[in-house]
Amino acid sequence: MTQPDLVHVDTVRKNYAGPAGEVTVLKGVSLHVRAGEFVGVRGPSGSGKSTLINMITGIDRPTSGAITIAGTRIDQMSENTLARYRGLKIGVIFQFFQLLPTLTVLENTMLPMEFCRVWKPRERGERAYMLLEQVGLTDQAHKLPNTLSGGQQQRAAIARALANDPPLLVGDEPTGNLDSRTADRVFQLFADLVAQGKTFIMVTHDNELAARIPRVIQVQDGVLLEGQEHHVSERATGPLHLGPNGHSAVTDLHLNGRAEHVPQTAAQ
Amino acid sequence: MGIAFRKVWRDMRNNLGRTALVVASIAIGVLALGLIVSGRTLMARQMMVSQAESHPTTLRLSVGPAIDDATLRMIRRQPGVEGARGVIFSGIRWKPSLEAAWTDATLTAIDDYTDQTYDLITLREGGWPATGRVAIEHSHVAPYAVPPVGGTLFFEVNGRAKPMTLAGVVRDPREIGPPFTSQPTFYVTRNTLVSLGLSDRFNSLQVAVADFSQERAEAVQHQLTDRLETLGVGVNDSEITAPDRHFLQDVMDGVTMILTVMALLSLGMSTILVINTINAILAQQVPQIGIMKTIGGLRGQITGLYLAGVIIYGLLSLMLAMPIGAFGGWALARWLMALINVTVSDFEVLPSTLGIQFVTGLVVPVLAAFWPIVQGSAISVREAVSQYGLGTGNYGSRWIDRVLARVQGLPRTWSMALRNTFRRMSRAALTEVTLIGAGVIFMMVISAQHSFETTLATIFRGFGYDVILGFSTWQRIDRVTPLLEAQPNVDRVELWQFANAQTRLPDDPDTVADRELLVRGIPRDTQLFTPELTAGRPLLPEDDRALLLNQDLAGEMGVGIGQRIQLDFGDGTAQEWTVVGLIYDLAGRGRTAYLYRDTLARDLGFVGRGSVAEIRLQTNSLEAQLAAEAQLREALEDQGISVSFTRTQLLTREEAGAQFSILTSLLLIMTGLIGLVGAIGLSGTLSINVLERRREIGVMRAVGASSLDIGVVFMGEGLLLGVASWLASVPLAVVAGQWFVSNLNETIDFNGAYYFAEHSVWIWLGIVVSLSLLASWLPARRAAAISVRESLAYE
Repeated sequence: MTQPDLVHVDTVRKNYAGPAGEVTVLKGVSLHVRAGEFVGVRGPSGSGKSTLINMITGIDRPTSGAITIAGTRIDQMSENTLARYRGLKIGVIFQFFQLLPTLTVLENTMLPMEFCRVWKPRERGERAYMLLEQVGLTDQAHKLPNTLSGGQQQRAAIARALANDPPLLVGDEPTGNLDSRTADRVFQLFADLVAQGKTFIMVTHDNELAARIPRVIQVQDGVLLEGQEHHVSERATGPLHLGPNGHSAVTDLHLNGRAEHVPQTAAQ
Repeated sequence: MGIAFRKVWRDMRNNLGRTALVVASIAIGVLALGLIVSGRTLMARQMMVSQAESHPTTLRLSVGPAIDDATLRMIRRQPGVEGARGVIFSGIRWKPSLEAAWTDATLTAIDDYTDQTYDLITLREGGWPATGRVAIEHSHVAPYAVPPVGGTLFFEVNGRAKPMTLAGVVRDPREIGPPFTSQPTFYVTRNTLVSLGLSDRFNSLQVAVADFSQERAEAVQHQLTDRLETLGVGVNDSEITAPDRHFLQDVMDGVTMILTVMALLSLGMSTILVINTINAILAQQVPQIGIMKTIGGLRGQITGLYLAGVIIYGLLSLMLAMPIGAFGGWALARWLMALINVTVSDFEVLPSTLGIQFVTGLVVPVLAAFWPIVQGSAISVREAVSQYGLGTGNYGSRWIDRVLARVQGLPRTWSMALRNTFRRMSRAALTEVTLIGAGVIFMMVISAQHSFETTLATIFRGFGYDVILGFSTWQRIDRVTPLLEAQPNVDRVELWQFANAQTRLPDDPDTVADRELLVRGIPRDTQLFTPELTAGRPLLPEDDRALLLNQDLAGEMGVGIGQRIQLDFGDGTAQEWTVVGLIYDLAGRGRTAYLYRDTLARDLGFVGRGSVAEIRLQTNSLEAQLAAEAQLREALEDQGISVSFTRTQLLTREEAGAQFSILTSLLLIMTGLIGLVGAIGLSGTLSINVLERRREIGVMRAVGASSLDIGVVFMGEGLLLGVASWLASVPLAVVAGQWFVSNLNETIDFNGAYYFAEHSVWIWLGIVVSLSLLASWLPARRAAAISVRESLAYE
């Protein structure tokens, strides 16, 4: 059965005022993401992919068009409503982890629960531990972020993104600041989350990882290149199948005349 | 403790320097306020208590000739008089040992020390005065090296030393100690006065007016003056004070009012500092605000978080400001009260002051930080999370950036320092406000002190004497003048006539309007008396019944230049005199008139005689003045001429300037606090700049900048801010100083002129440059210590 749309980006334009005049970063982009999908967003620097992600997370607002998440228009929400909505429905993972430096890993994970008050105070710690266990960080729970490696910090950021059990996770180059081995492990976490039913949209420059994402969207010059979305798997809600060692075979895919590497899953 | 609150707490703990900065900023303002408020409260209360305990009289009359017991009893029976006490004040010379030199002292005697009703003199140590036994006012013991109780001291009687035992130490509520007085007061019995060859008749009356009101007291004053006049007794001086107010209450109120203003100013400046620091903290925390918003934090929650931080800063500052303020206030009260001979109770904490401090320490920072926090928390998530790397912001888009970019020829590091200085305009502006404020206040206070000193110097220069000797009886001018002129180091001798008179307007012959006047008769060929007049002209050789009148008295009487007043020298026949000039002097509580001696002599009947010798010396250092004072007295007394008083110009001037120096010392303490706030502000601004520009520092390091180069950029910025504030503060100080001195004069009832202290400009430049370098040294050192890796790494 086809899943309903969780994310609906409808003809979104985004202009910015720059020193040389107004710049249009997104030129009427439309996108549908179904619940349980794992979607990659690719494109060269300045193509508008981060802006698109910011539109979906409500971090930025479109100049025109509409953004609907789980049936709710978020582009018309007030800042406060949006902040609370985001805290509950969207988990955001950044390239530079963005953990609050003065809070421990456990406290960073508990903070969204405290802001949104969705769990009882005594349950928050237990839940944070459970999430840290999920990302393999229970032994680091009481450490400050700066004492952790990049991969550990990103896993902590993932735990934090999951704090309020949001249906949608969005990552802006979440593996961009990690070495390939660590990036691979973190990506596996994302894959597991999707397997558990989360919807995941992530920007990535990593061809190998992009090749393992079931659906990859190409953004260039502020538009989604029609017909060049790459669907690795139609079974978006099903488990992702990776190779025996966690790596998949790589298939060349030519986009815009350039060689791109996308993964070929066992399901294909 | 919630997670969010833990973040606030740890942010503070992890940035101890910054926390200390904010806490110190708040604490200084709150401390200054607490210190002044508690000091003021303690002083007001203690003055009132002291006043009530002394059972004060409300009318004091200085009479001459002195009156006997029968007259005193008659005074007590007058309507409106509740009670009266006769007091004898006499001048004498004393010394603490036979080897010591004679110096002036005052002897005070009342009828019975053990049975007092008014202006109670209390025994502090030893016993009451008795025949051959004297007591000393307690505030005069240490300054004049008086022997301990039971010891012997000596009074001069007919040129010989008469020993007396110091029986005890007393407190006289009407006496004050040095620096307001320059000689000790001893308490004796009337019998002792006689044994010292002095009169035991009362020359001062202390009267308690029944059901006091100003009108009743004035009515009693006139009635007693009239009654005494019928007995041939003149009233030389009279004074009315309300029973519930200490006789120095107005002065103290004025002083504390000015200090309160200064405390509020320092509180205002520390508020600016809080605004600046909170702004900077928020600027530094912008990415974290973005993250908190991303994970569901609402603007209200984030605002509350940072406001909670401010409350913690406030509470921490109160931990410093409350005890120091309470103790400081008590110490201030103790010091000031000791100066005016009022006892302060043991140290105590005033709950009301603590309350004021508590509210101020919490509310002011919260109010100061509220808007910056509300604004800071309003930043959009996109803006917040995108603040990474170099080149963000809008540098170059403002006119000042472009103007500064055109400044060429400076070393690159200095160019950077110059451009960085105004990069955060609002932060620089707030820092400048603090520094300019400190500079203006400093120059204002120094100028006030300078104005006092210059005014006093002008007044004393106008009188031209170095030593004054007063005679007990009228002396022939042609006898005394050559005698004194023959003494070594004497440059010029002028014999003046001092006399008391009653004055009134010619068209208001009703005696109720009489005012006492101290008349000074000056020689027609005076060289010493060249005062600066506040209106009119000086006395001219052709003048006859012309006089210079004290401007305060003229104002009180409503008399102007060219108008006539009547002078009555006690013989009942009033002569008319024309006011040709107005003068400001410090003698006789503003009730003085200066006229030609020969004209006055005709009215008094003492032609060719003088009562006071005014002497100019060839060398007029303090040592020379003191030596001449002793030597001239001796020369006169060798010739059988009794000297009633002597005075040197420098000591009199010092005494007159004492109240100003106390006031300016207090103001300078407050200025020091304000300067400290300025330095903290500057240091804070630069520290925050270092934090903000860590990445730039890393890049500079990466392209070869040495520690010195980095240091120069930041210290140069501090120096530029300091010097810019100095430039702005000078013209402001000139204008503000005038306003300040005028208000100060009004408060302490002094008619000083305003002289801007030019030296204060250069002193402040030195201070502000030192402060700037000192305040920027630590941030510069911190900046220079940042490694490339550290600075380019994400927090």
